[in-house]
Amino acid sequence: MKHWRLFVFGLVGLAQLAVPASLIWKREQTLRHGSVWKFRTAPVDPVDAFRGRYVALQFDVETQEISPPPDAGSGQTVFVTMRQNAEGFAEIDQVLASPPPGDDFIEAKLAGKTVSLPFDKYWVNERDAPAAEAAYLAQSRRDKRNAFVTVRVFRGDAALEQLNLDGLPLGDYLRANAK
Amino acid sequence: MRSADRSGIRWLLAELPDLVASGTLSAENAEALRQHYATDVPTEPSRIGFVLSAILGSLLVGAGIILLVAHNWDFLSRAVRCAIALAPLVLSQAFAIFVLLRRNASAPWRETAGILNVAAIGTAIALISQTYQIQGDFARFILVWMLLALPVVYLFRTSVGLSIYFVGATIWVLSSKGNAFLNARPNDLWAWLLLALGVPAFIARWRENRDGYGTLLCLTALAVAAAFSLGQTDEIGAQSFWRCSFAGFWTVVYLIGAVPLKDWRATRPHPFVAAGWIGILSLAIFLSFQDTWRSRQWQNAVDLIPRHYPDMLAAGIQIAWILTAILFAAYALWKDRSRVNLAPAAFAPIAVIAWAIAKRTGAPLIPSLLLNLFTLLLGVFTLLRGIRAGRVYEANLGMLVIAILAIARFFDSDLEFVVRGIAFIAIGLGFLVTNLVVFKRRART
Repeated sequence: MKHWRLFVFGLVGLAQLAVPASLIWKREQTLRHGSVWKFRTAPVDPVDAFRGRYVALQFDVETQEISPPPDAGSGQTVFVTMRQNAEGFAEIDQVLASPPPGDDFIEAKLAGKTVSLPFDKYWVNERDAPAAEAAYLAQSRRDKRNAFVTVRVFRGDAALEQLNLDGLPLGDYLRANAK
Repeated sequence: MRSADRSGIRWLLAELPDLVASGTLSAENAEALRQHYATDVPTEPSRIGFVLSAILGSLLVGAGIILLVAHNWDFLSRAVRCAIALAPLVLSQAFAIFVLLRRNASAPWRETAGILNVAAIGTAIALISQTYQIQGDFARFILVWMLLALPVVYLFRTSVGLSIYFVGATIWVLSSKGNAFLNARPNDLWAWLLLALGVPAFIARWRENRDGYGTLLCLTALAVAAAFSLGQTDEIGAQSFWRCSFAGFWTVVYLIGAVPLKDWRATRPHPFVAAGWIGILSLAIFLSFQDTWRSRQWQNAVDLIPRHYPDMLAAGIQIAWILTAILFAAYALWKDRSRVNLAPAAFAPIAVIAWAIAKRTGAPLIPSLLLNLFTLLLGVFTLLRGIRAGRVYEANLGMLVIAILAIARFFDSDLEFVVRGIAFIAIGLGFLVTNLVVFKRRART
């Protein structure tokens, strides 16, 4: 009686570990083997930018009008390939209904004539949160746009690597501007 | 035998010396009573206290761990942060194995192990997600968490764990609104499957001790989850039918408290009786206003049986609630008519009849009158029943129902003053006559 419970809990415990472990594995793969893309953030609505402890990100490419695959409805999963523009930032190249060959594509959601990227939150340290908010707002104004994120892309998965402000990673920027 | 009401027993035992002194009881009888009740009095409170403190303690520890680690120490390397995130999970698993091996017979140990483990699952997933900036949606996070927690609920037979599962299912229902799940759209109906997965565990709790507080907690969580799921289902199925499906829901709530749990405590009814009364009364009063039956969509929308798959299933679930309520009431009528006030259970069929009339005629008058009549009769019946049995609270409840109905009519702008006046006079006269008759009869006996 005792032992079947133990056996079942062994399986349950493995499943419990498998879920976070698979998250780690997938992300590590992406961070190791993925190619780096820079996404420039869009000007932000100050009220909406910061919720608790993450920066709510919006990107230029999310307003880029694309030609959706035929028969694709809003909210449907699509596969997006990118190209670099003259300034070195990512632009959407193709939007496809099925995964393209190669490793360099993102799984995203179709939103009408645009694409909604699968990363829109940047979690920050509780202590740094207020400073990060102010810094992000200062660097994402319409007249001064110096914020972008680096994203590693590998077989559909997109791992947000770093939020960069004024050419520096967020942490370095905050240290440099700390007074 | 009714389950022991401990405060009552304590009171009785304290009274015994006086009763003996006044000669009401002989010393032997008093001693016999003392021995009869002495057995379970001293042991019970300490055990419940232990369970409660174990549960509270483990919840606090779990929450503390979450807060500590969620601080997001970014000076630590990713590997260290992952280890910290997984540590509570591994520790809680080790503790759980210890409990399975050595303390499997003890409810507090099992509750503690179950809660800690369930909390650790969510913590691990949430912290890993934060460390790796994994976005994911909230609904899916809750779903994965609950599905991983479910076997723990079964293995550790934990009431609190099961309640957390039902609450999680509710949160999932609310947060996943409008998204696709397993390619079904809309997904809200999957909530029923999620709830059904927890029901066998609930039945086991019920069989073990239906009058216990743990079972009450699970039952409450299940009822709340069912209410939210039913609300979502109503939006998919025959929309105007929500009046009936919720009439069925509240009737079932009332009947669960009134029929199988009628021996809950010697001195008071089960909380579900009160909840059922409040639900039935609120909905009945709401539906007694003509406005609530005045729908522009009566004519062009809402067939009872829609033609597409998810809508059809939703309508089926709505009808299932009604049928459950009616069958449950029929069973109670056959089995427990004398001991239980079954008048509130008439709400379910009345609501269906009113809905059918509204659907057919499109006119709000008759359905609202029907609900008025039902509420009035419910009040009068309860009043009479209470007075016949000499139960003051039941008689007062009946009067309260009538009074609430009267107040509702007073605010009814739909009715002309003449109609309102006549209705008020009728209700007032009814009130006076009932009281007169009843108190006269009471004085005679």
